[in-house]
Order: sequence, then structure tokens, then C-alpha cells
Amino acid sequence: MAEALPGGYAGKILRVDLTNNHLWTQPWTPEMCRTYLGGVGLGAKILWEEVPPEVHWDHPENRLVMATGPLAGLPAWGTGGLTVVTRGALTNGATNTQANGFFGANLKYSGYDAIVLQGRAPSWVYLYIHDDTVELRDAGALMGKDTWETQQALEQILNLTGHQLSVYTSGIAGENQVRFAAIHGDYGHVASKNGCGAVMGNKRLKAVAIVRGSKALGAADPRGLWLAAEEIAHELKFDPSTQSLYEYGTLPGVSGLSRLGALPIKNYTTNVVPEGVDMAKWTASSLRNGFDHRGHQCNACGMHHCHTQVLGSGAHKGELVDEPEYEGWSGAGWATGCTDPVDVSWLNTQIDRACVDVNEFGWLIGWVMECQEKGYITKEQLGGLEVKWGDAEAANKLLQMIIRREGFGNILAEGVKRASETVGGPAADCAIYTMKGDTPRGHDHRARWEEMLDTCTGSGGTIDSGPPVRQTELGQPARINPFDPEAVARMVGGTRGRRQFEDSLGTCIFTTRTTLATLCRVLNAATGWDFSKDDAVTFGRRTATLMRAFNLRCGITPDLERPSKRYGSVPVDGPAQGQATAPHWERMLDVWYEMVGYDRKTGKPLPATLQELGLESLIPELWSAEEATHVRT
Amino acid sequence: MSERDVVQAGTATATGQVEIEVVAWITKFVGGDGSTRQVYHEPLRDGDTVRKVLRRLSGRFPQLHKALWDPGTGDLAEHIEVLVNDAVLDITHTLESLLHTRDRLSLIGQYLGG
Repeated sequence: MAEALPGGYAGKILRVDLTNNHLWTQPWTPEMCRTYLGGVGLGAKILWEEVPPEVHWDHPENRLVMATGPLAGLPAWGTGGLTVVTRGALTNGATNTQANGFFGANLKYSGYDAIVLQGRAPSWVYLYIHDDTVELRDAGALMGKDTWETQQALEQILNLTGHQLSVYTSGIAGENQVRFAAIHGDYGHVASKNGCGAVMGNKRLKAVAIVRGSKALGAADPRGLWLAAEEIAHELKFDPSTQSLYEYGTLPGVSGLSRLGALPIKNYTTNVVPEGVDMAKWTASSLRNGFDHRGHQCNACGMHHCHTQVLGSGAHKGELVDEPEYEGWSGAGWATGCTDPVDVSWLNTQIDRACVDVNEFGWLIGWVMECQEKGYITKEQLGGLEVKWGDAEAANKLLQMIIRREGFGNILAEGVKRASETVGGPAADCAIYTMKGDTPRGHDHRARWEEMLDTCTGSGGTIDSGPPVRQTELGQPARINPFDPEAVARMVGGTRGRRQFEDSLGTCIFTTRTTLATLCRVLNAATGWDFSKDDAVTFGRRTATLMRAFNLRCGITPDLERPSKRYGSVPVDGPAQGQATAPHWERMLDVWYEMVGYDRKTGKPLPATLQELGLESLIPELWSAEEATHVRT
Repeated sequence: MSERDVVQAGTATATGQVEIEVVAWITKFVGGDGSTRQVYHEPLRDGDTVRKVLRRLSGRFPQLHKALWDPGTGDLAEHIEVLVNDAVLDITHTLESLLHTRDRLSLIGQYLGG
């Protein structure tokens, strides 16, 4: 008799071969559930097993994994999670990127834990899912539509509204395989990293439309789940470490990071707030209350995080927009010198509708603005367009050129690294990126060394460890000198694993800001397992290591683990003035490699590390027998 | 350091003052609305360190005390960034550094991003 499926799981992975219009389900065993959980855990396994080195990001046989996890759809806050895993367009390596909204819940209620897409459709299609009805349908009527328009069109076509339907699309940017195209859904939720939307577009998949299903989804211990979820909700609401997140989401980041020199201003050319800018307008409450707003929560979420708002002034007065996250305020705003909250809010939504990563866009447009100011890029090159610091309308014109690959937009559509290399000369020195080809999130990492190291060594097209959360639980100090290279590297290495565990549960990382022990309580109540904190860390480190092994197989080697010239430059002013990473970079890498158990020279996880993480099967693939006996373990 | 030490520090003779700026969200812990800023001028006494002055301030605001200090170790918890003269703690000052008149402390919320 087959072993019973753990609670929290639908028990099936939906497989879609777009080339042959072949759809089938793949059951997963209880053992697989326990080993890979879901989200990035499942995605990393599929990438490693099914995407060989010759299958680049734009090869039809690349996989696009859209996964949830065991908590998605259950009554805990923020359980609508989507994790996208693929071989991405910017690094041509592994991608791990999240969105929330209702995707995870709706998919689970239709009876699936994940969708794995392969092949390329002969003509544009969208994937329709409603319980056992799963079809590839003609997307002709959706072409040329942005993300919001695509969702609106499908709501009309399917005669569904509100949370009855989740639509995730890569918009016009995906249609044109812009290298930093994202996947957007549920009006404002974006899996944005590493060009996952370009992969979706390459497959000629315009959208995934999931009708809220009708299948039962149960927890192993419903009362235990409810109690643990309530405990987390209480903690989010009342703990001093999370109260601001509960109340305002990521909005407090702007005013806080500006005081630390970590708010990126004008493409890293300064860290001083321009004269005349009133920072009182940039506190969380001012940003929220400066607009007519209302809550726009994800599945089962009680956080006061996601909101929509109406522009109260300016050229677009009256337009409905999505309240930007911190990353939007920085990418659509400060990085490009735009410091009018109304303009930033408007531009941020245009970016979401166009469906590109707001971070990459900020670095790209900030770079163009600086280069045009310095004469490195001419008005003629931009088709007569002047793009001055802070000009949101001009930035939007460039955005529209980029997503349609028109004129110079075709060069910019390749992302900031490739565009700056194409332009060359002094312009190349002004661009912010990692040598792998991705870009940092929306901070000035010259004042956040932890995140620069994490971004450069990360294997998922962005950070791997993320800002420390409850790091004392993992034996790390509550705080460190942010410019102490060894302490920085120890923190990044020592917190590795937590993020991958969170990204495999089908939840939002803002609702998992509790101890790993408490998170395990929720997971165990859902599934009936006995996951411990140590199991969670081992799981996360195993997943991160599998992603790294995949990247090494793709040719992403340790020599690429460094910042571009501007990204690694020395701040000329502000709180981090004079702090230089370059003299310490190699030492930081040394310590980080030691912490995570990888070989410093080749980047390979050491045989002992692979053994410790239960990845023994990778040893013969990564190490020859002779190497394995000689390498330092 | 114990609460008793705080009381003793408070009975010494003032030799000047330091400014403590409580920024944005952290004002919630001192009775504010979580926006703008509040500034306290704290009398400075001989031998006052960053730790002593912060202890004195947090001694008057239980919520700040809870947010600022780790109850287990008695050191700063991870939730609030402390700046001394605009530099993050450990750059120019540690918790045990002596303060001088007109030094400025700032308390700002830890970044809670993705």
C-alpha cells in the first residue's frame, strides 16, 4: 500500500510540454516531499536533473518551474507563494525568485503543487488551469497587452473577477525576450530576477491563468497549525523587530537606509540626499498616507503590507497604481534621481505593467542618465530623447522602447552589463552589475558589504542568504561592524540556508520573520513531520549547494564572483565615505568559502560538504577520483 | 550593566550633554507616532559611555528598552541601528566608548527588506 501523502500537499506536479501540447501529471512520493519540500528545493532538483549544460536559457528544453510549497493555501499569513526556478537570461545560470498574491493557493486548490514547463509552443498560448481541466489555449487576443491588461482581458474572457482568477504573465517585455523581463501576477506581485520572464516569452507562453480550484487541502494537525500560525501573527504584530514590517511593509527602508549611506542615489554617484528634498515626505507613514490608499493583501494575510493607491497630483492624477515596495522607491526613484513620491509611484507601476525587474531597470536608467549627462551616450543615440536625472516621463519612454526593443532600447533590453559593454569606453565604468551578469537589489551595497558579497556569490540570480533574520538562533552575533570584512563574510556564510528553506514553503518571507524553530512548528503541523531547526538549515544549504553545482556546470566560475568597477567603487560622500571593499574582497571570499565548505579555487562544494548535506551522488559528477582524494576536505 | 548602575550614573554631576535622535519608526517606542523624529538632550556625566547613555534613555521608556537590548546578553539586540555622529556603531565608537559633549546618537530601525 502506498504511503500516505503528507498534509499540505496536493500530491501532483503538473508537467507541460509546450512543443507537443502534451500535458500530464507526475505524482510525488512522501519521501520526495520531505527531501525537496517545494519551491526552490523542488526547482533546484529539476534544474540539476533535467537541464544539461548545453540547454541555455533560450533553449526550448530549458525548464520553467513555477512552484508552491507545503504551506501554500493553508490558513497561515501570506500563503499564496510562487517560486520561479529556471536557467535565467541574465546569468545563463540558476534562478530563484519569488512572488506572492494568490498563485500558490489557487494552484493547490486545483490539485497541483507545481507547474513544470518545457518546450516552445508553435504559436503563442496561455495555460488555463481549473481543477482537472488543464489546457493550452490560443493567446492571440492577449498579444501586445501589458500585465494588468492581460489579467483584465482574461477576467473578461473567462468571466471571472477578483481572487477567483490568478494570472501570471511576462507582459510585453516577455514577448520580446527582454533579458530582465519578469513574471507578474495578481496586480502587483512580481517574480523579477534573472530574466525569468524572458524564458517564459521564449517558450511563447503569454500567461498562466489559474481559476481558484475546488479541491480539498488539509493539514496533518489543523489545530496545531492554527496555533502556530497565530503565534507567528502575534509576533509579527507585536515584536519590536517586526512591528514596522507589519504596519508598513518595506516602506521604512527609504528613510532608514538614507541614514546609513545605503540608499542608492543617482547611480552610486553620491550618498547625500539632494538639497531641497524633504526627507519627512519619505518616512513610511508619509509615503502611505500621502496617497489615497487601501489594502491589497495576499492570500490569508493580515499584514498591512501590500497596498494600492491613487495618484493625487501631477500629470497622472487619479490613476490607480500599486504602492511601491522599498525596491520600487529606490529603483524607479532614487537610483535615477527621481525624488517626487508621486512620480516614483507612477513610474513603478509602469515598470510592473511593462514587466521588467525594477532593480535592473533602476541601474540601467541611472546609467543612461549619468552617461548622457557626461556625453558618453548622445541624444541622437537615444532617438532624440533627453533623459535627465529625475525625469520619470523620459524614463518611461525609454522603458517602452526597451520592452519593444525599439532603437537603442534593443541594446538596453540586454540589461546593464551587456549594454554597457556594447557602448564601451568610459560609459562601461559607470555601470552597476556583478560579473555574472545580474545586478544588486535596490541599495547602495558599498554601505552593505554583506549584501554585496551575497549578491556576488549567490547562485540564484540575486542574493542567496539575504539580510540576517534571527541570526542569533544560528549562532551568529546580533550585530557586526558592517565594514569588518571577516565579520561580514562570517555572517553571510553563517546564515546560509535559512532563505532557501523559506523559499520552499510557499509563503512570503515577510510572514516568516520568526525563529526557524517556530517555522518548523508550522511546517510540522501542516505535514505531520518532525522537521527541526537543524533539518531546516541543512535543507537550505543542500538546496543552495545544488544550485551552485548547477551554475558550475553552466560555466559560472568563481572568477565571476566580483562586482563591476562602479558597483565595487568607494563612496565619495555620505556615511560610508571612503569605505572600500576592493582591498578586502579576496579575504572576504576566503572566509565565505571556508564557512560554506566550498573549494576556494574551483568553487566546487567539497566532497565532505556534499556528504554532510546528503549530496554524495554529486561527488563523481563534480570531482574526479584523483581530485577527490587530493582536495582538502 | 545592571539597572542599578543606570541609577548611579544618573546621580553624578552633569558635564555637558549629548543629543539622542530617535528616528521614524523607533519613535513608536518612546511614545511617538512612528514617523518624523524626536530629539532628547541627555545630560552627560563623567565616564559616560554609549552604553550608559542609551541605558539611561531606555530606562525611561520600557518599550524602547525591550526593543534595544537583548535580555539574554545585555548587549544591543539586532532590531535598532545605533549611529554615533552619523557613523554606525563599531566604526568610530563601540558601546564602551566614552562620549563627549555635543556627540550625537541616532536610533534608526533595522532594514526589513526582502
